[in-house]
Amino acid sequence: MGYLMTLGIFASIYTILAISLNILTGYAGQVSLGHAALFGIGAYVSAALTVNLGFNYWTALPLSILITALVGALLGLPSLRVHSDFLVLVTIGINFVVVALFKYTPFFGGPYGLLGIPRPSLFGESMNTFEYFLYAVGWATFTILFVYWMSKKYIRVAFEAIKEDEEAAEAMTISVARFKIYAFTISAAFAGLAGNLWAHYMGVIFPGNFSFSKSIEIMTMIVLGGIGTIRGAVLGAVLLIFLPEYLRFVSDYRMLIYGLIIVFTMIFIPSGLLGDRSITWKWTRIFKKGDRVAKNNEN
Amino acid sequence: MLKVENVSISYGKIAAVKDVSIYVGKNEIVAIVGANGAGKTTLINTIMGFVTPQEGKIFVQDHEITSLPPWKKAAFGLAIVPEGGRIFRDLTVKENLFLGAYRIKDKSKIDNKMNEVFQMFPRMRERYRQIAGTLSGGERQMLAIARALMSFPQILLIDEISMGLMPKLVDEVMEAIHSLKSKDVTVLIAEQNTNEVLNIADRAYVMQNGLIVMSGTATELKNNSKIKESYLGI
Repeated sequence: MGYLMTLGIFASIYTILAISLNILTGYAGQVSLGHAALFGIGAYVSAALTVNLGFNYWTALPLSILITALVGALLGLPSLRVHSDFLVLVTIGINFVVVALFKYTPFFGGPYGLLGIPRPSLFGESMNTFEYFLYAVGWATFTILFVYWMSKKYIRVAFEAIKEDEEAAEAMTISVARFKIYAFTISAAFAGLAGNLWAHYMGVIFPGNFSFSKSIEIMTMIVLGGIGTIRGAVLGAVLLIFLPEYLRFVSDYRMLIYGLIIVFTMIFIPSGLLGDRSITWKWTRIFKKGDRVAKNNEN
Repeated sequence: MLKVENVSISYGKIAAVKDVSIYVGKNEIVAIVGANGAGKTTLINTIMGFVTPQEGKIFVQDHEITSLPPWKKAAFGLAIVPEGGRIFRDLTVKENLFLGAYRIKDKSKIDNKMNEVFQMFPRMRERYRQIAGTLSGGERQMLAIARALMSFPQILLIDEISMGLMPKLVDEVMEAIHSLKSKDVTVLIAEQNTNEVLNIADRAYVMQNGLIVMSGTATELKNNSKIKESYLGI
C-alpha cells in the first residue's frame, strides 16, 4: 500500500511538472528541453532553506516557488532573442549549467547532494506517507484547476497567437516579449512547486536527479499524452510513472523507451493520445459532438 | 495624418527603400503600387515598426514614431493587415477578433466594434465560432481586415491584400476597404493589383527599385499611358 502511495505521490509531482512544461511548450510554443533545471531549482532552494538555513517548511514552500519563478523569468530572456531549434539548444545548455552549479557548489552539498530534508509537519507532527500523498494530490488538483482557469482567460489566447505567428501577434500589438516571460515565469513557478514536493518527500536530493534525461522524461509525458492539453499532460505523467513499475522491461530500458515513444508519437499520432486532433481523443468523443468546430458551435 | 520623410532602408548592402517620402491625409485612401520587389512591403513594415529605417523619420499627427516597436505604434492609432493576412489559423474567428482588440479594456466598446465589423463582413458573424484555418481565402482576408479594425485604428496599413484571391473576391475586398472611408479610417495600401486599387484610392505613389518614381491622383495615374506601360504593366 505504501508503495502505491509513493507511486501516487510521484504521479502527482510529475503531473504538476508535465502541466508546467505544457504551459510553456504546449500553450506558448516555447520548446524547452531543460525543464528539469527548474524542477531542480525548486527542490534545491527548498532543501537548502530548510536544511542549511533552518527555515520552516511552510516558509520555504512559497520562497522556493517564488525563487524558481524568478529564475524562470530570467531563463526566459534568451527566448526573446533565439527561436525554435536554437531555443531548444539554449534550454539544454541551461539544464547542464544548472546541474553543474548544484554539483560544484558546496552550499548545495556538491556531488553528494543534500540530505535530511524534513517532511512538512502538520500540527507539530511530520506527515506520514498517506498524509503526504493527500498533500501531493491536493497540489496536483490545484495545478490542474488553476491552469484550466487560466486556459479560459485572455492570456491563453495570447500564448496561442505567439505560438502560431510571432510577427502577426506583434502586429496585433501583443507584446511578444512580455507574454513569453509570463509563460516562462508561470511554468517555472509550478516546476518549482514540483521540485519542492519532490525534495521534501525523498528527503535526499542529488544533482543527478535533475539531469537532462529528466527533461526528456517530462517532454515524453506531454508528447505522449497530447501536447497543449491538460488531460494529455496528466495522462502522460500517470502512464509513465505507473507503467515502468508494472512492466519491468520498461524500467530496464527507460531512456530507450522514452526515445521510442517520442519518435513514434511524433510520426503516427503527432498530437498525442489525448491531443485535440488525435484519433484516440476523437474515439473517446464518439458519443459527444466530435471535433472542436462542433464543440465550439455548442457554446 | 501620416508622414514619411526621406526614409531609407537597406538589408545589408541591398537598398530596399531609397529616400522615400510620402504623405497620407486624414480619411484618404492612398495606394503604393509597383512591381514585385519594388520595396512596398518593406515600406509598410517600416511604418508599422517591424523594420527600423537607417535614415529618415516617420510621423503620425506630428508625433515622431520612427523607431518605436509595433505595439507602441498601435497606441498612435496604427494597425496593419500583413501580407497574406496572417490570421491565427488554429484559433477561432472570435479569438482572432479579440486578439485584434488586445489594447481595448472596455468590454462594451469591444462588443460595439464587433457589431460594426459584422455589418461590414456579415460572413464573419456566421463563422464566429469556426477555426480560422477552415475559412476560404477571401474570408481569411476579410478576417485579417476585421481583426485589424478591432483595435480602433485611425490609420490602417494594408499589404498585398489581393494576393492569391480570385478576381471576384478582390472586388469584394476592395469594396470593403473603400467603405472604411466613411468609418473615419485612413488607409495606406500597398498593392500589385494596380487596376483594382486605383479604382478605390484617392492618390497613389508608384514605386520602382526602392524609389518613388511618380505620384498623383488615382485618376491621373490611371489615364496616363506612359505610366501604364513603363511601371504598371497594364
